[in-house]
Order: sequence, then structure tokens, then C-alpha cells
Amino acid sequence: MAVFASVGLLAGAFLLASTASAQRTAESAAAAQSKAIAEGRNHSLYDASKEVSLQGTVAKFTENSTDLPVGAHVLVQTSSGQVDVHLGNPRLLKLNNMTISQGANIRIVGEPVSTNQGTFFLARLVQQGTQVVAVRSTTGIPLGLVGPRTSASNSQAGVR
Amino acid sequence: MKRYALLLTLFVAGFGVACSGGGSSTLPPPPPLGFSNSSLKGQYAFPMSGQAPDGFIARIGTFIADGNGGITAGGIEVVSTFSGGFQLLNFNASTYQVNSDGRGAINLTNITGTISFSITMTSTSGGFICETDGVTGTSGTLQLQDTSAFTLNGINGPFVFDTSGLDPNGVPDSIVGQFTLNAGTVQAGGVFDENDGAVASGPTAITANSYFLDTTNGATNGLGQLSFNGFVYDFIIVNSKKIFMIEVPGQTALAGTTTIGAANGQVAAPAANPAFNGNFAYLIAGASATGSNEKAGRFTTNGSGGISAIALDDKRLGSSITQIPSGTISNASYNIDTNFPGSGRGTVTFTDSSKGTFSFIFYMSSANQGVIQDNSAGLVGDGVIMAQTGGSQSAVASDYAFNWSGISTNTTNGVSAEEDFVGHVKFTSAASNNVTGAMDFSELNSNQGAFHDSALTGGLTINGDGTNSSGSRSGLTVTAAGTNGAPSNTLKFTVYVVNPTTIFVVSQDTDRVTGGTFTKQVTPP
Repeated sequence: MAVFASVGLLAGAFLLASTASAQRTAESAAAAQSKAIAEGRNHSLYDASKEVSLQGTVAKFTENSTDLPVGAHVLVQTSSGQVDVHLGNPRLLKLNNMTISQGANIRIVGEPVSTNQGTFFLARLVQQGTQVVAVRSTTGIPLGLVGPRTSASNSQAGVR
Repeated sequence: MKRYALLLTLFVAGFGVACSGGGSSTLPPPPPLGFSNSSLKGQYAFPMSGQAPDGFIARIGTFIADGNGGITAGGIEVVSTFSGGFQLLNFNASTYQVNSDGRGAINLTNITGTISFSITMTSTSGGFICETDGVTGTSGTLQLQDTSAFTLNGINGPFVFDTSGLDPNGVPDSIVGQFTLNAGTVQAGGVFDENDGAVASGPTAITANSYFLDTTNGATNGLGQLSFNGFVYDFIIVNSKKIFMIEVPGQTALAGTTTIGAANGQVAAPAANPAFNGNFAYLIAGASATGSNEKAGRFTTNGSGGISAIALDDKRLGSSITQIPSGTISNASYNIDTNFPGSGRGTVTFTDSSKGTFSFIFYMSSANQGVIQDNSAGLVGDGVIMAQTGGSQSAVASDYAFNWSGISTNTTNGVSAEEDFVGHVKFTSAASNNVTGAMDFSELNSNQGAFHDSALTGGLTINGDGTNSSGSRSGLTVTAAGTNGAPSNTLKFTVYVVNPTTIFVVSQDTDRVTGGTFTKQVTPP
């Protein structure tokens, strides 16, 4: 996507300080969500308080599975058997340079969730070694294809 | 950059072949509806969103068409991407083409190169636009701007708005509400509802804040910025009753996160239950714990808080469509929120004994139109709600422009990705084989890219008045012939006829979650 990549040159603090200070941030958005959850307005199917940690080895990884839910699946061999885990959008793993290989050690934080397509083990966090990738929100919604903020990538341009 | 140039060359060449009436793989000449390059003349605004190779992309912008195939320098776009961040880019001179059926191509050039778009005009005032460069898939609308509204006071008044996308942490997010603009002030007294990752904010009062026009592009492009309750949006004025909006991400937001949408002027919205009385249809796109979701539906209100004649088509990727009622409907009700008088805010909910409870929040910009947010369990989504009068098979026998967008899965390799379609169809009143037309589209699963001038045939079946109020669905089957290198494919939709000028559709195909709108074309004078 070179068409957009080279334009970080336009970066600049063009926004007025008064409005920039009013912008919602990663922290303020998370705080607002937490407040709403505390006030009982969480209508997600995913209950973070019921999360479990699966530790095991990769018995099989399918980057683009058409099994439900569509997307990346990993079959984790745990000490108590195999668990099929939905990892969400495989492009999010690629974006974070996470490669999942058969036989590798893997840790999944997630939980089984009943949806109108069936009951599935949905991953929120995927860990290999020291690398952890969040694939779902704390409310179980697959995250969008975005990446970590970099100094150049979130340039502020526009109205001034 | 070279890839764009190549695609542009192929695109122009494709039109040349099509118009020559050549061999069997070419498109027949378009019907003589009367659109031409002169139909696209003036300054147009657009919002678009979709998928770039590196993630979510959203943009609002303007371009200036000279009525003779030329794009004049002076337009702009405010665009958000992962790799580029949040940017303001200027458009240079370029070209466009409009065919007789309203379909055409626009090339927009900035310092990064030329981006190719396909369009279908609904009238000389606007239409649908779809990025068809084979790399990025986005789509949206374009609308002629009224430059006389490019002042602070030019957009005074109440607006109903809807923006959606990703919150600063990359979580799917929807914000709908109502605010009032007046001489640079976002007035206190408005209200909004946010559904952030299936967590509802509840109705939240808007506190007073401000808006202003950009010193460089305000008077020329209608670019401005407004703020309320921690949200900051850049906007582009379409006219005194419409602005397109894109959220300005804060410094700690993940790269590529933003929400995008529009605000529409509000006039005589229902203030109590008796004023919200009749038939309504809606179209919603969103996300669930298992992926994308698309809904189209309808209900009838009784003026006193009750709803009936409920129909809903709920589509998830990899599954066949779920049609409500599936079991028995209960607890079906609506309520216009009198706690925020004049806001047009309301709620509607019903329970299907087989599929669970469905809950929505809406804000009406008038008695006949508004925005709607899905607050059903585990869902984030929003869209449009409109009063529904329906339309019979003969009533919809006409020419329509369309735009569908969503996610599809490549059945060969399992890759799922954005798809966007824009095109023209003619519906006739014949009992079968009553659809002809053509479309351009982006199909990004497995990097299939973009395809142009794909001939369409198919069948539209309207049951009764097309409202689906009886539970018997109307349907559309469209087959893309595979012309000009495009894949041959058949798409099946459930059809909700809103009225003879607007039709909502949602895909039935297991391997896609796609929906969109048909808008009756108004032939140029």
C-alpha cells in the first residue's frame, strides 16, 4: 500500500490544542467501556471473568478455516485433550508477525462461548514465547485490523 | 504506483472494447438512460470505508468535476489508514468518465499517485462510489455539494448522526445520536448512544462544545471540525442539512483507528409513541464474537408502543441466513424516549423463542428516516431505518444504481476479505429473467483484485407489496457472467422494498456477509 505509506511527511500538530486535548484516547475509550460494564451495560456474550488459560502444543493450525467460525483456528493439545480454538482474523496475526507452527508451544487465554452459530472456544490472547497478540476485545469482539501506534503513523493532519 | 496506472489503462481499454460491441466476452452497449460526462459536474463530497492491505481504511473528501471528463485540482481527502495514519491530502487534476447507464470511472490523484474508483450515478446530484484499484476495497456515496453552506451558520440546526468503525483500541464501535449546531457551538442538550465492543454507553447527554471551519479548506471544500464529549470529528459540508464525518484519533489511539459516518438535518422527528406509527425497514452492518454480521428487517408499529409483522434476515459468515420469525415472537415493543425530547431517540426490541432477543436504538431525523444501532447480545452494528411503503413487482420495474459491501470467503482457499460492488441494473415486470445490468467490483479474498464491466443477469421476485410483512420473503438472484476477466458468480439476496426508489438487500450465500442498497436512478434532463 505504498500509495499511502509515504505521506507521513505531512505529519504535524495541526489540530488546535484545545480540541486535541478533548480527543478520546485509547485510555479514555477503555475507561468509558469499563465504566459502562461496571454499570451493567455489557451485552457481550463473552464474560472476561470466566476466561481460562490453555497451555499446550499446536496439533494443527489452519490459517483460513471455513469451519465455523470462519477464520484462523488452532487445535491445541493440552494435558487433558485437544481443544479447537478460534483465533479470529488471520491477518491480525500476520500484522503482528506471529507465526504458528505445528508442535510449537502455545498459550491461549479465552473461553467457550455460545453464539447463534454454535458454541466455540474463542481466543482473546494468543501467546508464543514472550509474544502476546490480542485478537479479541475484553468483551470478545474480534479486533479490527490495526497495529501498534508508531511515532509517524498517527500523524495529526486535517482541520486547523 | 505502476499497478494503479496499469489498472487504469486496462479499465479505459475495457470501456473501449465494451463500446465497440465486440465479441462474446464483452459487455453490450449500456441502455440509453442519458447519463454522460456532463452529468458529473460540480463539487462532490464522499465518505468511504473498507479494507486496505494493512487494515481498516476510512476517508471523507471532495472532488471537482468539470462536466467534460476532467477532475479539477482543488479537492481534498481526510483519510485514516494503519500505515499512513490520519492525513489530509490534496487532489490534483485527473480524469473521469460517465457512461449512459450512469456507470463510470473516477481517477483521483494526490502526491501518492492515482487511485481508481468506479461509480454509478443515481442522478446528477450523486451516486455510489467504489474503489476498484485491485489493492484496497472501499465504497460509499458521492453527493453534490452546496458551496453556499460553507459557513459556520450554513449548517445551523439539529442533526442526527451515525459514525462507526474502530475505537482507539481497535474495537468495533458505533456512535449514534443527535446534536444541534449553532454559529460555531455544539449546543448542550443533544444525546448519543455508543456501542463499543458490545458495551452500551446508555443515552448520554451532550455537553456544550464547538465547531469551526478550516482556515484553508473551509470556504473551498467545506472542511471543518466539531467536538463533543471527548469525540473530535473532522467534517465536510455537503449542504445545509448534511455533513460527512470522520473521527480524529487521539495520540494514543492505535494506528488506523477511526469512526466514519454522516449527520443529517433533523426535521419534525417523532416526539412520542403516537408519532412513530407505521411500517419501517432497516439495514445494519456490524460485528459479532464470531465475525461480521449483516441484517435487514422490518416491523410495523401501532402508535402505542407495540410492534408486529416482524421480519428479520440475520447473516453471519459461514452459515446460512437466519430468518426471523424462526420461533414465536414475544415481548415486541418500541418506545420513543421522552427523557430527551426532540432528539428522535427510540428503542425497539423483540424476542424470538428460537433465536433470542433483538434490541435496537434509533434516532429519527424525520418521521420517515433515521439511524439505527444494534444492541442485541454480543453485537456491534448500525445502519439506516426508513419508513416502508413497499413496492410491487411492477412498481420497481425501473433502472437502479446499487452498492453492496461486506466480507466474502474464497471457497477454494478459505481466505475471507472485503468485497465491494457498484453497478446498474434494470428490473422489468416480467415474471422471470427480469434483471439485466453491469457492475464493477473489488474482491480482495486471495487478492483476486478488482473487476470491471461484469455483465449481470438474474431474477427479482417481489412477493406482494415487497415489504416482507407477511413473512414471505422477496428475493433477488444476480449472476455475474464473468465478462472482462471477472469471475462468474451468482449472488442471492433477500429483498426488502422500502419504497419504489429504495431497496435494501442482504446476502443469503453461506460464503458472504454482504448487503446494500438499490436506489432508483433519475435520468438527467
